[in-house]
Amino acid sequence: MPGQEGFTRRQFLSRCAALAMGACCADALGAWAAALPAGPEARRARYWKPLAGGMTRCELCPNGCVRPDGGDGRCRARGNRGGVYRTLTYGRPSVIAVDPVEKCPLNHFQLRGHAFSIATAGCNLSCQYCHNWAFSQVGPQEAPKVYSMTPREVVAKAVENHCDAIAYFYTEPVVFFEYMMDIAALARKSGLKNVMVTAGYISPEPLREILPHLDAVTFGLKGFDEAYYRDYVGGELKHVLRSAEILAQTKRVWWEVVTLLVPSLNDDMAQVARLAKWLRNTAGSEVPLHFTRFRPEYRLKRLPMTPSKTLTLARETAMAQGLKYVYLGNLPGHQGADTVCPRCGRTIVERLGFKVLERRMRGNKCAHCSAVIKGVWL
Amino acid sequence: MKSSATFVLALLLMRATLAAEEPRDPRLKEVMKVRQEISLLNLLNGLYLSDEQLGRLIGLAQRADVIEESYAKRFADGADGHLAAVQALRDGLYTPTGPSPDVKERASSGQKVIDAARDRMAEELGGVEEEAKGVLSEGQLAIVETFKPCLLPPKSLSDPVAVGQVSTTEREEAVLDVVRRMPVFLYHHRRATMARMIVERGEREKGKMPDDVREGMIRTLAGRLDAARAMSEVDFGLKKAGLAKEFKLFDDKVTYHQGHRRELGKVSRFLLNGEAAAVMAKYRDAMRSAPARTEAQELTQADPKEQQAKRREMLLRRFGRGVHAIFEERKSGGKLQDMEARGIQEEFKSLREGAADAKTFASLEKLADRLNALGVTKASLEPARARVQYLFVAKRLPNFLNPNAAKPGLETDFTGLQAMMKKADEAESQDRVKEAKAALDRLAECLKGFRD
Repeated sequence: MPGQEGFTRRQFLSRCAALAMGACCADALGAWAAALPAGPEARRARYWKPLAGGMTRCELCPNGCVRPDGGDGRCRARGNRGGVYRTLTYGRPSVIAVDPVEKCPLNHFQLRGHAFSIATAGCNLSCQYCHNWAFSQVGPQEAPKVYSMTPREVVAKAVENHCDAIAYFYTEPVVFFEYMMDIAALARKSGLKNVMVTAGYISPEPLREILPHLDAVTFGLKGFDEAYYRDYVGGELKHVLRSAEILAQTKRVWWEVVTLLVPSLNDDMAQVARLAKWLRNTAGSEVPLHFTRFRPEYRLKRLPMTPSKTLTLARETAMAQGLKYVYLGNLPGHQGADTVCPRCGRTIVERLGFKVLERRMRGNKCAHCSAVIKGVWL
Repeated sequence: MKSSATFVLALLLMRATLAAEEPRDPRLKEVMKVRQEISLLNLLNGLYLSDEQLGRLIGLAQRADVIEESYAKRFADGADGHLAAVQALRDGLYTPTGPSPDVKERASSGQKVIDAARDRMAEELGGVEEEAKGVLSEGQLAIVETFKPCLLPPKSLSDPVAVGQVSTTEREEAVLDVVRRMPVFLYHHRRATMARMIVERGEREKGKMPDDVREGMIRTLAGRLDAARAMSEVDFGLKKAGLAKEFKLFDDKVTYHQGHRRELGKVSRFLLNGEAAAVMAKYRDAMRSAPARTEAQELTQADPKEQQAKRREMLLRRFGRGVHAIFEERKSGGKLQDMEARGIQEEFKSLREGAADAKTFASLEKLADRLNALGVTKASLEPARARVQYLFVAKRLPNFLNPNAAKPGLETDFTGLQAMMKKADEAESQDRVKEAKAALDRLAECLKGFRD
């Protein structure tokens, strides 16, 4: 009866049915939610297209992963969840550190302090010699460490630790594109610079979108041979060269190129000469090129370290092709890490490892002969 | 002539040589010589000297050798006279009247001549050292200044953090990480012991501290351990290197540099002498003849990720086999009814069909508990041990149990887990099966308490 306490039989049955349906839905929702990583990392990804049957195609990088529901991309950092492509590492960095910018390596990009380095698990390439394989060749579930940090917290920690820049680093930042974009925008507002260390394996559109947020890029050109890229890097050189060309056209972003020389695989001097020539023609003679020493890692443990003689020879070969600043890395103590003025030939920046020991420059000029040294100097 | 000159130099000038601490056994003498050569080669490998730099350093080292040689000759020439003077002074000291003023004067003036000559030699060698410093870059000089003689070069020299590489965890950082992940009960039980162990280790290196200082240090370290545990994950990730430095009371495996005098700088000490000149010349020849390009070598495809997974799988299989062995024993001993035995058999079968590691592990634990409830025998120990080892791997703890493990090379097991294992081993060796099983179970419970 209306106005009376209690239920009629009909009301009781309908409420029971509603409760049962609610419980079923809650179960289904719970199962769906459990399939997703908890928190903000389950954010919708960008640059993908839905396909028939709940499949998705990722368009962020040239891998173009087509995945069914529940499948992860080759990078392991993005995946199809219920027909929606999602980033699995948003807000979940696996590496955080405060580093000198020389570690990127960037020798012509001067900061007052250090950079706040950040990386998530996953990578869209599979370099057989990866130094950071424990983070790059796994997804966030298997990574040895996963922190929880929103973009705002990342910027706050960078400021708290007196950093001048945020470096997207250690693993391939392309795979955490959305997270990087959000951090970069906030960092810019807070007066921090943005540095991206990338292998350039990215589609042109997202690359063009991120570039205005960046101040410097370290570009890993891992070799100059398609077969080497296919067999030891797990990608295609042509896409990397396309990215480098886009970067070369963007005048406001400073960039330096790094090539790891692996004994017997990409240390042929003819290949080194081709690489240097292409770089000079594409980006000019003043883009710094770093040759770094390989150390037996990951799946190439049987190969020896790159002899210092090979690196010295590569440096000479690249300079003979007209490049003015060619550096040698992973050889602390070697003079190939120092900056030499191309005009007067004197050493103007002396380095040991990632430390700058002495700088003989006035602004952007050589202190001895006043030649302009290209770069971003304080 | 040269050896007597060297002896006089060592005796009178106390220049940096090993003569004063030379062992009596000629083989040990040879070992020391080879060790010095190895040490120099380690330094040269870390300096990446150019051919031109090497050439100039060899020249300077030879010049330094000639200077030493000439002074040694002069000392040897005047050694007889000075020896007679000091012997007379000594003999005078045995007499009740003491040495005569004349004897004192002769000994003193002889010493003055030697001191003056020593200063002149140091000045000349110092000039050569300055020239050598000019040959080296700032970076190379910094390496020489921090170099300590060694058989195996430290990681900072042989394998420094590479461009773009995540910094490798130092030993102290790894220990702090384990301390942070320790279960609360274990931490409270071990906290003071851990701090005491660090201090004791420091004392072994640097000498005993007064009791009050010692206790103060223990309290400070325990406080730092608390602080490390209280830190957020992010702060610990960012600050662990700095924190680890505060715990650096460990020795750094660098040995045998005691006893050297450093009248001149390290450049002089390491690079500017006759032996160094010979080693550098040999090194330069070897570098010149080395090929610039390494030939292709056989590639290994051993993926460390797969290796770790395989290790876990192997330990899990061992655990499973052990539990099955208990089952067989209980079954043949008539402790299981047919129905129950068939049920367990079915469970084993389903486990063999393969579930995820964690699930299989949990099921095996339950089965083991069920079977051990019927009685603990020797067969119970093998799976209990495999379970402990599996947990060590799964919880990413340094392998204290493996005596051959090179890393982390901890001398001490801070957590006390190693002591528990030892207790279990002792009980097992004395056939106290129940006690051994209880110790292994306790260890497993502790391990399970560690945060992932």
